[in-house]
Amino acid sequence: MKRLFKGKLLIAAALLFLYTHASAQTPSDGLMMGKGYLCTVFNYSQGNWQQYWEGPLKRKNENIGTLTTQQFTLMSAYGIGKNLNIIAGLPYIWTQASDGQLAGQRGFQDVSAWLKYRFFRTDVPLGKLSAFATVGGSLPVTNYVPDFLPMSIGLGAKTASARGVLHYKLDKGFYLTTQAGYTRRSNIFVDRDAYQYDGRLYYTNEVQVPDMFDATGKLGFLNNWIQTEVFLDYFTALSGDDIRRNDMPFPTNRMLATNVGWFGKYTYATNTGEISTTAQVSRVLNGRNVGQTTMFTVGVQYAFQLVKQKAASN
Amino acid sequence: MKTFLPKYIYTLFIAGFLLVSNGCDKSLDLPQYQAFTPATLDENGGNWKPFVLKSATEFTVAEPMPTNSAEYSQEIAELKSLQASLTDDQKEKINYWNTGGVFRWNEIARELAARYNLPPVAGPDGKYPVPDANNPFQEPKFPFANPPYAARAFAYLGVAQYDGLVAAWKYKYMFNRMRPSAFDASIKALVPASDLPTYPSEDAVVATVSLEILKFMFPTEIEYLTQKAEEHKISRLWAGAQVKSDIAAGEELGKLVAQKILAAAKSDGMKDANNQTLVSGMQESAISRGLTVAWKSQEQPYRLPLLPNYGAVKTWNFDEETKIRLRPAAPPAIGSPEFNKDMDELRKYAKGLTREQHRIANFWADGPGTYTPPGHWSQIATDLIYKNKFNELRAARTMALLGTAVMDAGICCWDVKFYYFYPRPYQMDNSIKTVVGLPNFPSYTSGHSTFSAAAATVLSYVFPGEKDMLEAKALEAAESRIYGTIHYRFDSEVGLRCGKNIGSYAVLRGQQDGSGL
Repeated sequence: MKRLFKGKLLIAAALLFLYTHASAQTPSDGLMMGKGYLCTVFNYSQGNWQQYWEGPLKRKNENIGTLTTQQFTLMSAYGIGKNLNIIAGLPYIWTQASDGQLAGQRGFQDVSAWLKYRFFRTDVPLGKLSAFATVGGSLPVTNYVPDFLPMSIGLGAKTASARGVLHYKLDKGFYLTTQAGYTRRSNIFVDRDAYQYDGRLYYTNEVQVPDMFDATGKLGFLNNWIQTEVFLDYFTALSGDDIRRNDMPFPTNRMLATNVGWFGKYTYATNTGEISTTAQVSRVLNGRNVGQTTMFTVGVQYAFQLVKQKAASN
Repeated sequence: MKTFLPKYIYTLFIAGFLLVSNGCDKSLDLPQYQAFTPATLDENGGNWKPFVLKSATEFTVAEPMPTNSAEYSQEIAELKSLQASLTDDQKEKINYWNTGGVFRWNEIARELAARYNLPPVAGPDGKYPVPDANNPFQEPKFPFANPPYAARAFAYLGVAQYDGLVAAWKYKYMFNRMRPSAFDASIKALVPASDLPTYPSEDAVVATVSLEILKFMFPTEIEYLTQKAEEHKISRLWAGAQVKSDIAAGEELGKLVAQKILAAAKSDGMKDANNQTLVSGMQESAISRGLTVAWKSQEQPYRLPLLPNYGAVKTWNFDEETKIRLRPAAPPAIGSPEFNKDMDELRKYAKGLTREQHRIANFWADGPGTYTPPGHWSQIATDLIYKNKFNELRAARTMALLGTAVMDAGICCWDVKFYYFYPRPYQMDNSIKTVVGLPNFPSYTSGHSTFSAAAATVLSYVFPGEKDMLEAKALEAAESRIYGTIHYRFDSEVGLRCGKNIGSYAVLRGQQDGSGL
């Protein structure tokens, strides 16, 4: 079972902003599933905000009160090879405003899949340094309404993303991970036939959703039983406009945020595999065109060897 | 250092990313418009009846200098020198305005309506500031271009363009000055050749009246609008379509026409449309007629109703008495079987819509930040004008008939709303959450339905071949408010009927305006 413990899967789904950004951090962490191992994660998250940034202006909206976004996420990672994982996930999301009359929305959002490849690992003083590349994409699985922010469950765009991860692990169990990624997002088609973008009126139902850049730094400790980690996340749209004064948000908005959080995991082994329980908490420190979300996530993971290897490799 | 997988894995990863992001061309497929030769010239257009002007010749246009004069030759020479060095930007502007001044200025008006269609935010005292026409640059900027406001802006714009062009047509065919290229073959006209006489310039008339009306309606945009008007006029010189004296005469005529139309606008009662002191009286009188639950704003903090006295603004196509006669019977009593039936329908939609119902609710939402329902119909109209290759006069007539019918619809509907003071479904049952914004004024009748039926009626008269499409759109707009759960079915059905009646008065005007159309 020893090997299995190295194949940790960590998930921290969904920074919840004006919309729900349902991306697991798995593609962006420094961990791999061992070859032939499958890990399945089931998470519940709840994110709330009372204040949001309308462009640079932080405000409340008494006709929304607290916006709550909840989601269940199912996600799996499988070790195709020792250094190559495939990861896929799908969230079910529902939104709700505590005040005002806007109707909450619910549904399955976007299915995501990534390939993660460890292309480099070497011994360095006090530990090991490894580097990963991930590519992946996502697409909506239901025809949800993206143009009803902040109640919408997603933006409706197909995405393709590429990222690099650098993971430095000390022999004592401490680690430092940094990652940065670029996400390309497709245009979407909204239900209206004209809309404003950046002060101009566009006579089309086709809307450009800005591409994104994101980066994360994590500091943590990991052994066979526990993992504890603090992280700082930043993401920014690479184009887009601000929410107009007292207007509704729109998928063209340039959303950006800095988010800080903690993640923890406790693992115990069974005869057939290992079960972990996870918890995460995070809070948006600063942003633009997003809600100041506080989010809690709890989850369970089950990992086991799906395909037996001929011989243990190390 | 160790690598674990063969080199091709890198290529595989890059290829994978490109594959997934492929088909991700982010350029937008925006409508493209070409210049066209109008289907008709309407040579007798100078005899059509204007809306506000007493007659086409109320303002005199001086006889132009003869085309064999030295001054005219000088103007022709100027055109040639302008045309000798056209930049790509200038060519682009020529093409933009070639689509038609009426088309473009209505497009500009819609953009401004969308830009200014944002309700003010409450201050720290919980009170909402009111945009001030006398201090338009002060926050919140003037105006708040809500649907009644936008309807009025479009109406005056259409009327000013139409009245100005009726006068222009009169003088065009009085003086019969032909296009510059008819005198000098070396002038390469960058517009389709037209036999419409050029003096006074129809473009200068449209640019000038549009500038004056829109400056009044959207005063903070003066700089942008002035630049657009200059660009419109000079683009006709660049295009070799008209000479300077054509433009100057059009400007002069346009200013006089605009002045007269603006005088009408300033005395149409809009100044008193937001008179909140009348509201309690309106409410009491509705209760005295049997209303059991009066409408209340559902916004936090409490927001005063939108333009409660807009119903008293002067109508275009019928008089005050007719307006009262057009008022529908009272809505079902609250708690009556008819009321409960329509409430049950809304409770069903509040539990969930089909995606198609949600699409319809969104398509017609036309809420804050959009050009409003009157703007939506303006867009439908200008698309039809382009499709049917209408000349400027006929285009303006269409927009004037549409604009006035839609403004009349707004006035009548607001009159009805504050006469009956009927609560919104959400006020009666807080479980009826909405997928579109909840408008801040009484429910009965539906504004969308009234606007849309009036618009569809007028446009079906102008474009008989499109009747089915237009009526289907009006019906869909009316349904959209029920799917959005902000209106009872009876709000929409009665609104449609009222709108149709209101629109028929504009049709009557059209039938009697001497156009023979």
